[in-house]
Amino acid sequence: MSKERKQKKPFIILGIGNDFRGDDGFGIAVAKTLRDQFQLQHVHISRGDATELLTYFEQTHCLVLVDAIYNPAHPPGQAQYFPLDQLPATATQLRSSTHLVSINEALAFGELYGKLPEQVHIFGVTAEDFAQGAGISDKVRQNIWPTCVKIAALVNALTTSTPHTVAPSSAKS
Amino acid sequence: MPHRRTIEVDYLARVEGEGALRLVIEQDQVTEAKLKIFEPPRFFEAFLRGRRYEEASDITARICGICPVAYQMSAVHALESLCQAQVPSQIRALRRMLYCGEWIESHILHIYMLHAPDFLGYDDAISLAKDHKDIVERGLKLKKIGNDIIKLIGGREIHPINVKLGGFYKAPSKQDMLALIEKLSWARQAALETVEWVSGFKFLDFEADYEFVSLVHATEYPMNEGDIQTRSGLRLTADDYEQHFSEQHVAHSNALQSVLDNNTVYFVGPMARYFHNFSKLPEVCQTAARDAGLTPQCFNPFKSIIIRAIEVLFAIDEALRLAKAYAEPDLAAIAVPPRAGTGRAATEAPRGLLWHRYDLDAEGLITNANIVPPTSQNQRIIEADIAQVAQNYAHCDDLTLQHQLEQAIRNYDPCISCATHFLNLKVERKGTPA
Repeated sequence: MSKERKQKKPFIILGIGNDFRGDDGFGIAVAKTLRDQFQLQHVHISRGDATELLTYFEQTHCLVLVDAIYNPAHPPGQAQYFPLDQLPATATQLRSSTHLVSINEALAFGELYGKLPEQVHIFGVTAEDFAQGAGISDKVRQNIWPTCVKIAALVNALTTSTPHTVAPSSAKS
Repeated sequence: MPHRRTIEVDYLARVEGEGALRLVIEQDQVTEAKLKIFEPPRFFEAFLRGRRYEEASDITARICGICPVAYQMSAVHALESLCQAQVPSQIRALRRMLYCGEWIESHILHIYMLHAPDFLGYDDAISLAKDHKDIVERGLKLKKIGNDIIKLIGGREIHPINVKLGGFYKAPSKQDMLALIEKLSWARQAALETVEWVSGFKFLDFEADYEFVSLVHATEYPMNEGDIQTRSGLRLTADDYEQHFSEQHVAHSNALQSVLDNNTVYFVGPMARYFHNFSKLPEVCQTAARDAGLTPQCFNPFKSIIIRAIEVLFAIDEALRLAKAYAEPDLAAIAVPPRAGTGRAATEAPRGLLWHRYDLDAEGLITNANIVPPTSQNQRIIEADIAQVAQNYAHCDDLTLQHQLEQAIRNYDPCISCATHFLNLKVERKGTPA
């Protein structure tokens, strides 16, 4: 096993978004909850820049991405989960800004350049409103805690041979 | 072709919302060309009222994910001007290097991901990368170096957190700065290759008599400082901006449109900077421009991609110079006590002139703010270009016409440039066929 492969983290969790743009703050809120209340390690916040994502790709065997999703076909507040091979082909679905390359595109670059981790899991929720300055809508906010629970369970399954519960350190917000 | 063609390109609502185009062609004559752009700064102007002046740089950074440094720089310069605070040369140099990082990552994103696919016949950057893997990888590496500069000096790659009035919360160490030099040395060569690459594209034969507006500076290619210069000969300071530039409401757009004296439509951005400041570019950039087939004056907006590549080369060369000369400042920031009054400043965002104005009370609360971004200032000239391009291609089918119009819009790298990927063209044919 190469030295580089040995140094890779078992998982990295990225909360992606812009907390100034309404429901686009979902990924960031999940990341903060995982870090502060679930006390998970390797939790980061990203604005979704493609080159930043490519850097994270190389650092881990398993990447967990969390983001709000724009999809008029689904009702706001609908939780969504995609393993990499089931990610919708539409490049526009997961994009944190009209300037930045979408997550789909970043993953496609990662695959093209052989930088993808062995596993990629994408947790999202259909957004209701991306208005500037608005907080996270109630429909989306209701998904923060359940998403954290799912991610914690995934991390638990990845990192332990003897299952035990990864519990939050305090009551849920 | 039918007697009258109406082409409406509707927007698909995105995070930054609206970009819509309406074009009417009657008997192969363009009779209407209207562009509608979403304008995020208007919300932020209202949001800033009642906030403390120290918060302006952090709040305005959120306006844009690709050019937050520009908003931060215009904000701190406007407020420092009001408060009569002058930062020492070491902080000035750090701010200039931070701006270099933003020019690099913004221009490279535009060149490789958004505009080059147009010229080479690809739908998107992924398709381009599948056939030109090494070239796109070069672009991704260059962009990352721009991000690395911003992260080192600004504290974070996107929406930097280290900028404050008077300087920075923390200055980078000499060691961290030296670590950039090797990357920048590689990047300089990669930037030269980028200029060579884009100069080989095929460009539409299109020129217009533009009123270029940009900063000018006595000794340097301007970023943070300088007077505002127009091609017609007007030279003014940021304090005089409102006496000559005005914003107008138009019925077809939520965004205000800017004009110069006598309702003159003008053009800000890399082409304007290049026009006014070619002589201030270092020799390596001037030579690269000449080798790319450019003269010191360029009036073809389709060649703006070459000029952006020249500016990437400049920004890398400048960042390298600044990194080699870097000495840790004695203080990361000077004090900036508040003063009641009005402060104004203009800096050069990657897309062009970005002007800010703030009114403060004696306690340092912002009572009013006005932000005029480059994309808003370019709306009228974009419409003029679209009308002209559409006129030249009126005889073509709608799909060909749409492609040319989207490419024309991307010449300006506006905040809606990504939205144009998602524009759905609806063709309404009116009248009897010719």
